[in-house]
Amino acid sequence: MLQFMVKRILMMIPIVLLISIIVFWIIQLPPGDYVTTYAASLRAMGEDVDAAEMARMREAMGLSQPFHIQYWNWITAIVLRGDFGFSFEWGSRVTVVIASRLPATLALSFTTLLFTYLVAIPIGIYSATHQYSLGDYVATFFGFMGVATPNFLLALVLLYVAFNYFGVNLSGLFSREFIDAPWSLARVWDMMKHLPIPIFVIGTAGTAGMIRVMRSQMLDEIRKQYVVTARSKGVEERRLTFKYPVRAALNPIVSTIGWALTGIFSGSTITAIVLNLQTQGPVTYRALRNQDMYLAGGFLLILSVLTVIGTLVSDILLAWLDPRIRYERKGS
Amino acid sequence: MRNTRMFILMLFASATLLWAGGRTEQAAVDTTDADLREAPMLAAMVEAGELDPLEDRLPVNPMVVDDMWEGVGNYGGGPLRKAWMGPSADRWGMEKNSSEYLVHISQDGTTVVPNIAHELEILDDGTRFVFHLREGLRWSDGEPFTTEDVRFYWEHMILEEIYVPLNPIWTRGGELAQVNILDDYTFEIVFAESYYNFPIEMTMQMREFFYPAHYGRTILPEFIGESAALALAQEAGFANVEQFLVSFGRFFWIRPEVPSMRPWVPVNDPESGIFRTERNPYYFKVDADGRQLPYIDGIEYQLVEDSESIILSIIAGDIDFQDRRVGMNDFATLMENRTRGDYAVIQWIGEAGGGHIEFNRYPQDDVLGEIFRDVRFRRAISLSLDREEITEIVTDGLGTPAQSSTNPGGAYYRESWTQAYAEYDPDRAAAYLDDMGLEWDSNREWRLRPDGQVLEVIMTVESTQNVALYELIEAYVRDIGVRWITRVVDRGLREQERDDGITEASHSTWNGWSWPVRPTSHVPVQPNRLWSREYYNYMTSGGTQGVEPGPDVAELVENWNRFGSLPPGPERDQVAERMVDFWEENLLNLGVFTQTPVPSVISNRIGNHPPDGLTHSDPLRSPLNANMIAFFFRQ
Repeated sequence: MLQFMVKRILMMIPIVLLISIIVFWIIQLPPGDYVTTYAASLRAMGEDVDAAEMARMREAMGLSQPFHIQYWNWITAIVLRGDFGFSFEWGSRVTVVIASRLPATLALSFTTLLFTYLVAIPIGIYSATHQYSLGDYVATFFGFMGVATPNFLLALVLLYVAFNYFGVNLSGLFSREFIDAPWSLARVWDMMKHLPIPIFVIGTAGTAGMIRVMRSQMLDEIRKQYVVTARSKGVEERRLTFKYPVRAALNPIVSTIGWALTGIFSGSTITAIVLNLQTQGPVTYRALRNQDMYLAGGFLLILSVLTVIGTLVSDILLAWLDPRIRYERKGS
Repeated sequence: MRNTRMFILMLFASATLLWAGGRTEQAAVDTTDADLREAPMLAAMVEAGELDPLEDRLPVNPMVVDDMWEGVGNYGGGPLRKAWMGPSADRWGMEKNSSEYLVHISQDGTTVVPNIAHELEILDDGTRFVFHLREGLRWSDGEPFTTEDVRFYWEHMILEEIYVPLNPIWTRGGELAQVNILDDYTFEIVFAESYYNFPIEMTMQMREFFYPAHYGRTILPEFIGESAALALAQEAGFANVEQFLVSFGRFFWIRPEVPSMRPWVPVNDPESGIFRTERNPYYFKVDADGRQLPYIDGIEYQLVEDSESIILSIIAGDIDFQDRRVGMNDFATLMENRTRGDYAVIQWIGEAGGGHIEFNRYPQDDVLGEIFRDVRFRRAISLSLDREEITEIVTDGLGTPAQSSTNPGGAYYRESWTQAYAEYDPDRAAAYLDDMGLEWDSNREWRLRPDGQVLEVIMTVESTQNVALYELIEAYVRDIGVRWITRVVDRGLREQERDDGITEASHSTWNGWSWPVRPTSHVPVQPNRLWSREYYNYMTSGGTQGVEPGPDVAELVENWNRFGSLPPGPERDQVAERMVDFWEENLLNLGVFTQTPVPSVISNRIGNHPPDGLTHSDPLRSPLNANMIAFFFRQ
């Protein structure tokens, strides 16, 4: 096991390096660069920007250098100094931009993830063990609705209903007086009050999908012979369900826990824009659109690294959860 | 630096005092008291000895603002709440809330009016411009504002091209202007040749002509050394000195560190969830009763992720004034919810209108270039558009169908220009194309080019534009046999293609308010106009690049230069009329409609807000012309 982990971790290094090259290549793919976008926005404001000034800006930002040199400067700064470079658009360090939105993003993502698991797993188990009951139909109905409804649409509907019938503006993570207040108990409490809506909106689709997965896995398991055997031996139904089939049915969910890391880091994008949540998602979106390449690149790279780490975590968890899973073939 | 910090600290301290324990303090000062000549928050600071008395803060001859929409207002009532999308997207929007230049452009765009300079003398046949600053002006940190700040800006920033390239307006007759300081409050700008139009162009091209010298000396590498400047830049979060200076020099108004002359100055980090500005205690304008402006203590900009959430906030009554990020598309929603949100909708008259189309006169395809350069082609396209119908569909009938021209009320407005080739007449359009020898194909579906190919034009449209409008246009142009293809692309790609000379046709921004301020759409004076970029390149490169303008465009350029050098009077008007003649006949741009209303939202609690019908235009720095310093919260 230990050897397996070390090997996997060593393998991650070339993978991450390869990813970083691809990331850097992708963020430069769209035509033009940040200077083009910036000049366009200045011109839209009536400023004159001529070719000479644009060339000077490219020089100052290091955008005029060839690809491999730009990449080399970028990646060495990250590896050696943890410096992700400078966000042109925000006028500050990429790390500062990311850090400023991290607490709210993490709080929102973790609670959403918890919400998803706490709701989806019990409902999934219930609907499998009570297949074709009224409860199962209700869960299935809402499950499909949840999968089929885009989150942002749900957000819009909720915003509309809340505002039109109850006169409440639900957007944002904080009340106005707490927006730029320093962190305090009162501020945390204020955020707690605003969290349910985004959690509900962002969590629905995931919850719905997970209910379906849990249900079908459970259905597979409870028909298996070991369950029948256990039941025939008189193991109490509740104990039986939770000790054996549930554990086995959790496999696909556990193996995707790792990927949830990326979701936790980025927060959801379109929903966050609609609900006016100051999380990472909208920042990434804008960075990609405006070709704010170091910010966009930093995000993509962190996301990729998190995916790689997440996969590793999933594998380890899976091995721990399900001893049947083997990593090494003996005698090969 | 220390002064600024102290000042900000003081502002914070006093604000906290007033808020936290100081309810009684606020109550002690009656905000409607006519004897009170300054805001209660400042009066309290003066009383506590933290601030000089008002007489010492105002200049000898403060500027009296006596043309308010309702009359004098009152102090107090809490900050004005606005929303914005952060410093990078909306810093210019914020700039226009508090602009203060040496002189401002007049509302009709024909002359300049005093501001920081109380007088501007034009001498020696329009070669010498003497500016007289108000005596006793002070920066927002209390330091005196003098010609030293002008000299510093000119010598250490403009001439050094620290963060902004030297603007073409500084060169006249091939020579750079001279800036001479005459005394603490007087300086002159001298040109080699007459340049009567300079002050007007200056309001657009060189808005601030000053920078706080005492502060500049603490940040420019020239004074503190490269390494210290780099340290400052990095401390402020910048990668290099250049970007630091762009931010602190060019976009200074969002920086709490940089002293300014504006009515409200920032007090916290612009990246904050709520970016706050507070009144400048040294602001130089007073109302008719001699009370220091502005009436409103501060403006708060709440950061939002998306313009739609601004609309929701407006309807919920959480915004007091919003002029940006609300558009015609939101008009119905805004009007419907006026009672609920307790606000009014002000309708400005927008200068730009829509559907302005420009052709690249020298595209890669020479045959196409020849067609685009032929005025008969442009007239045919123009005549193929049913402007009435398009305007009705796209603007709900709120816009006015018109050619790209000058709006009523603008300088040298001419009705016949607004109507030039603007009627819907497909037969006449066909006649023009016949006349050019562009035959029909065998199916009578498309026109053929002289080389036998189908006449096809790719119209590149940026995705942020009103795409439906351009798709509608496509349908009309196709009716006269031109295979018009609307191609929607991202902003970056459009810019890139235009700079590479690939674009065939695209939309343009049109200055419909007053071209003497900035004829970028009318004369080859800017590199990024599709119709004129080759001419511009030719003229600025001394003939080594680009294409030499033909006699007609050469005459236009010549007339524009003459216009700039002539004093107001019949001779200049004659030159202007000749230029309008040219535009009317040559259709450099084709426009579909103009004067679309630009809505903005104002809380019913706010007094002195403008009525409908004010011009909304970039050179006027709208909403500056709404006169926000006169806004007040009704008691």
